Amino acid sequence: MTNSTVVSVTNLHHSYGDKAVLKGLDFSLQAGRVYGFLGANGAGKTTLINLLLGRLKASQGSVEVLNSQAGSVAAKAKVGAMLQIGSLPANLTVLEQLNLFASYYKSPMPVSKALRLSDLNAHENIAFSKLSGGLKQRLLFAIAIIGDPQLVFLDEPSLAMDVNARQQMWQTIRQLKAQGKTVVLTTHYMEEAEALSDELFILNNGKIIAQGSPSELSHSMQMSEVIFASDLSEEAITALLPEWQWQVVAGKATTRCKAPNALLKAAFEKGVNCEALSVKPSSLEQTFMSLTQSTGADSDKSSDTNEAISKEQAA
Amino acid sequence: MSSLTLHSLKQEAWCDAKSVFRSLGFVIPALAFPCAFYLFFGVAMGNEKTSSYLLINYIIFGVMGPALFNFGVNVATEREQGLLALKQLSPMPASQYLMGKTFTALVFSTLIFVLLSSFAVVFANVSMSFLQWLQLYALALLGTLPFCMLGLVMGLSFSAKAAPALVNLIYLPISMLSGLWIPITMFPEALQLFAWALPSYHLSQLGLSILEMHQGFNLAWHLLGIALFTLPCGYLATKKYNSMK
Repeated sequence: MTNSTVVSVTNLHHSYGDKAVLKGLDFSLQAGRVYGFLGANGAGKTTLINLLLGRLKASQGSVEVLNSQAGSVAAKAKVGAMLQIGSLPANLTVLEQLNLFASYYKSPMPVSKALRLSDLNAHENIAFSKLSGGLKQRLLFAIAIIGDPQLVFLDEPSLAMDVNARQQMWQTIRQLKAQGKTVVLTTHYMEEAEALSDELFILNNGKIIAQGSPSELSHSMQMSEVIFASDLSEEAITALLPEWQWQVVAGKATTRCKAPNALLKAAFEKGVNCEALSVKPSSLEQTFMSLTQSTGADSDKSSDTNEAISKEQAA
Repeated sequence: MSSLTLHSLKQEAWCDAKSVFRSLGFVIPALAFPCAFYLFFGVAMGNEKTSSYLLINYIIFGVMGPALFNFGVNVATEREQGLLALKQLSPMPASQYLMGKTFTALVFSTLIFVLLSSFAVVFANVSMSFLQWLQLYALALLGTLPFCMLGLVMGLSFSAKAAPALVNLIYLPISMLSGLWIPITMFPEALQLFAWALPSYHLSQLGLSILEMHQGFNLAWHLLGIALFTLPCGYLATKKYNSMK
């Protein structure tokens, strides 16, 4: 582990009972960078975050966070996390909640700074139950950074935020990065992941299937979407053009490919009639969807993970 | 304990108390029930002897409620809503969370003691020596602890929806079967024996012993009875909490 390595994951496996969720992950995260973890539900994102936070114990392999074991008191003191949680105490004000969480750390960020960074100054005396959804998110964000952590986990940080608040949050995440903090982001907004991340990890079915900067990924994964009207069935098209994955819905055949030329040439040669043909570039988001959806993943929402955690305890 | 953690502990206790005391829907019934029961049965319908007898029993009844509910129901809620997870991710030790909640329960116990004692003195002419009052207050504080632990086990075990019903389901029968409402000596022998399993029975006997109105068993047995209830509950709760990470 070098000085700037913040997280080091080696041969990480995890399963709930006999259901393998993570299947051998190896990666390391460096200081002062923003990492985005993307994946469909069931890809193992939430499980991975819980392992990095030490909320789960790995079935196999090691997770080291800031030179300590994930979840140890030493690691907790330097890690902040914004989780998808239902509620903080409804009757306590923003300021009271922040003062309380600040007291948990040896050298916390000044509360005034956390309020400023999360743009909550105007709301410091408002009780949690009176905050809008976006403001609640901002308070959770403020709590994540109040300990002045080296490593910050943000799970869907801009959920329920309006455009301005989201921009403000992005600004703050960039500021954290400028201060040498490492940020780990999970999000469903591809736009957010692209805008903020230095490096993206795409998880699917418990494995990292793609890794790189957003521009590298969108370049290497650039695909075209080809659609045409056809009276052939899905099986018939697949038999004729087996190199591509076909979907036929209501007489429309759809596929994604890197080289539409080759596809169209093959189609003409096999005599496949391509009426109402359209070829358009597929966005990074669509490419990501097609990459991760093909394996048919189960749900991995946090509630399921919590359920799995409690099942694990019961066992 | 360093000054830092002392500061944090104060924050924890203060925040928990503020949070609970701002929920009038919790505070009013928690204080009103024991007061109303005592004013009706102990003052309006009581005589000199029953007024002091029921004062002790209704104080114990009164301290049980907030301890059971703040732990049983509020811990279940905070666990389900994720607040507990957030706290567990911070370096704050688990004991601090528990001490914060215990503080709130002790504040309630103090209020119950002050309110019921005032009614007893003002409306029912109950008179005790300063030492006896002090013993009764100490008992009210001590009596909070077994129910904090029992509530905690429940709060860590049951869902936020089930917890209030389950807490009520044990709160009222336990009070009844401990002889808090009807003297234990009027119970059939089997029920009198069963009462030995209940901390509120032992607390009631310890309290009544202040006025020499207890059944007459050696008080050490009652202290042992409380310890034998509280410690296993505390152990079970710690185990559950630690396995929740």
